[in-house]
Amino acid sequence: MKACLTFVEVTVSTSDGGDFFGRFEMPGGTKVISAANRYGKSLAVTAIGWTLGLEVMFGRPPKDPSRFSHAVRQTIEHGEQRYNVIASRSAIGLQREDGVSIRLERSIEGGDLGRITVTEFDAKGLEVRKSDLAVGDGSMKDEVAGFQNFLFKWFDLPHVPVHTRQSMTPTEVYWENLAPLFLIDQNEGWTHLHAQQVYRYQQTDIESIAVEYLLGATATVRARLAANQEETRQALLHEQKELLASEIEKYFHDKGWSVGWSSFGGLARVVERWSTTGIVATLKDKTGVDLAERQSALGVQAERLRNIITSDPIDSGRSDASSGASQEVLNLKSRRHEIRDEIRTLRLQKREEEEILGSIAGRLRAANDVYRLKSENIGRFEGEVECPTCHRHIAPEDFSLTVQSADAVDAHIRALRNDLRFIQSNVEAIDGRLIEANVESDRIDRQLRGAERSLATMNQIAGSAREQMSHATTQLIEVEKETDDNARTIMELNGLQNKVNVWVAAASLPGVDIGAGGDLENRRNAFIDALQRFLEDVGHEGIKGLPGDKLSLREKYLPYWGERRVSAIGSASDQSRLVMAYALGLADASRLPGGLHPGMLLFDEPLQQNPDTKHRKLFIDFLVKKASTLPFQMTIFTHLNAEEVKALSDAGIPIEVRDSGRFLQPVPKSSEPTTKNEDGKPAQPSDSKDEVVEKTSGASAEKDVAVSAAAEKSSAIGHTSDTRSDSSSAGEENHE
Amino acid sequence: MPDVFDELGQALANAGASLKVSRAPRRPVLYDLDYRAVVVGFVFRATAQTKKAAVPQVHATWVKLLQFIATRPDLLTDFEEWVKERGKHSRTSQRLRRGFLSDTTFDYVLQILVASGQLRRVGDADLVAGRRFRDLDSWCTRSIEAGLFELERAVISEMATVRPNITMLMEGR
Repeated sequence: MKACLTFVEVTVSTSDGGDFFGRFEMPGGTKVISAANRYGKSLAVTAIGWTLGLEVMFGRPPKDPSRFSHAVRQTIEHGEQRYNVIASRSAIGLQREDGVSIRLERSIEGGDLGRITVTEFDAKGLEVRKSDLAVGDGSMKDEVAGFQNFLFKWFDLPHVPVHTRQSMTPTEVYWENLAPLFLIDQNEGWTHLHAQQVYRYQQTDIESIAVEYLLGATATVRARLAANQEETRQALLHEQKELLASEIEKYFHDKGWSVGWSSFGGLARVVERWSTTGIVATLKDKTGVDLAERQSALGVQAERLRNIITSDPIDSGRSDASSGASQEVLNLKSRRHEIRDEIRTLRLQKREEEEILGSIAGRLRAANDVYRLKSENIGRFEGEVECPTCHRHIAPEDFSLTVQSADAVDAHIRALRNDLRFIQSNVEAIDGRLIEANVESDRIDRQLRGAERSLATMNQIAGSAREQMSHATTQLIEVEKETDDNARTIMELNGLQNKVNVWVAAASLPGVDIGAGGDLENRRNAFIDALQRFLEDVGHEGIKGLPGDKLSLREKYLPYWGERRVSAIGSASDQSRLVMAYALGLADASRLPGGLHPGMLLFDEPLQQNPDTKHRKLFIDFLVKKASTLPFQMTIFTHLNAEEVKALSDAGIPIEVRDSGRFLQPVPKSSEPTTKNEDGKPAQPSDSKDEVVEKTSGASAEKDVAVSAAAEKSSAIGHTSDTRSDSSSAGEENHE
Repeated sequence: MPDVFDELGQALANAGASLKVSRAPRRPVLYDLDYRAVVVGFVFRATAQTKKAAVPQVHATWVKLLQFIATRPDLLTDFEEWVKERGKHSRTSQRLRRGFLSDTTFDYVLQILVASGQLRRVGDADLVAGRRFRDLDSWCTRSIEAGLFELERAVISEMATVRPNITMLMEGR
């Protein structure tokens, strides 16, 4: 719903100097407010941002009024006097195109800075409701007492979820994300497009989203969220598969199994691979380790040993138990020697292979450089070679040298790469075998310790039967221990397999439906057309100097002229012209059905960035030619000279000039003689005929009727007494 | 020159196997004149000095040693050990010296560089810039600008800080 700003007010109450008050009226359409520096324009503009809850847009935390000058927070000066501020507040009026209006009021000092008082009026100007709403965190979600929630409802703006960089839970587009595109502040707003965008909520692509939202392309914003969520989901799945694969490979490595569990490839490929073959099956396939079969064999072995100990008859004539134990120790020692020998050999081989690898890598590097030397014509031996003694021609081949072609060197490089791959695979194979051999060595060490204990026990035992019993018992302990280890391994592998299954199930779920992007193209084209028109209207010199190119919008909706970014072409003052044209173009393009721009623009000191004559003239020319035709509200705070004021007045552009005094004027005591203006509000310097030039076009005069009705509602603030300040002596206070 | 693949194929055929050669063998770039010449150029630029002579000059054996190691960077550590053990009869010295002496490729490259006027021999064993040294010099400059042979140049730069003694140079003869 389009709306307009109708007024801004600031009231300051002091402990000993009474109250001070300032107000600007803003009819719909264009309004230029010209006032000298230090008049208090910035105070008024700051008050607008503050009352709209936009302090975060100016780099302040919520509820921080530090952008205001001390005149409204600490001490206000008037003449020679200084008065302590005990309370101050700002107020603005907003009126929708259906006539419904609101008055927003917020304390700056001496009240609850976290609340905004909203008074609602119907189209006839009758008060409907008054409420105190909260600003800051949570004010969007709070449907009862949240200011942002109210504001979105009042403007009929939809809540659109957007993706954040912090979590999968989306957040929303906030008022302070939209305002930088229609409220251009003098300090930062003119420096570049999106200069005052708010990033504290970590919304992804918020610059683009703010533009799309105002254009009304909410379907595109929603599609962005879906795409971002899908991207995040996939990134998470990729990360999970890498972690899982590395966990499984580490497990295999620790167990001495040289088996890979690859996470290479896209999600679909890995899902297919991991769901086709399980971990246990892979282990069996690659290493021949069948844990289930081993467990079963151990069970049979344990049963046999238990039978020997418990029920089988003992052959007292057998004397091989002791020699068997002794033989087992010998076998294990022999095996340990072999495996240690193998480890030593493997390490030696690995070192040699790595040396070869380094050598090939060096040769490959040299060959690559020689290839570049030849293929890029950096240098080539071309000297005429003649024997200094016999004067006959000498060819390199005479000395077993060659001058190779680039192709020949390339072929050599390919051969070297093959060698490199071959050696690398050798090193990998050696690494794999080393892992296995080390684990086997540990296992043999354990077995050997057990066998030696068994042998030592048997050496102390007298009698064949006891020897057999002892041997069987020792063996049973070892078998049971291995059975336990094996069972634990099976359980751990099953745990890993479960993790794989969970991942496969998650990765197999259908992705987030991204959906269609809506009618962005039409809206984007309308924006491009409007932007180009306004760039020409405001006199952007950069694009004028490059005729024939087309305007386009690229990343973050930054405009490009042909292949050049518009912000990078033209003069320094073109930057502020670009910012202005961008804001105007966006408001204009948003007039398409469904557009969500609030329909009001505020430009604070557009001439401050470059005060040269040419820049000022281009600005005045634009206003003279185009300002009265704009189909939305444009309020400009600036300071114009008499000639410029006259030019605008002659063109019928509503302009209010306040060249002396201060924005905040003392409110006279009720006993003092008073002067009142037509609306019955306290007189401002603008009412003084010798200081004010105010011209209003016929069209905007009609709007003023509605505005004055809204202004009358400001009586709630309590400054409608018939008073008239002495503007010539009032206001030495520093409002800037 | 007998074809080694023919001989190998014949031997394998006798054993009931066959040989399949998919490509001709490639000579390493170590025998490429362009490569070796530019490395000699780097060494000359890094080591030739004006001392008693009017023009920068360097001992040819020193060039031979430096370019030998620059094209085989793995030997740099052996060279450094050799420098530490000057005058001693260590295994490092022996190992390096043998490889160094057998590098006849350098001798051929030097002959061609001298014959083409890039370098000139003076006195018993010194080298100075020849009448066409500018060609070799600019070739080296372009290679540096293109970021080529960084490893070789780093090795040469490392070795150029060593002051050769008579023993080291005589061993190269």
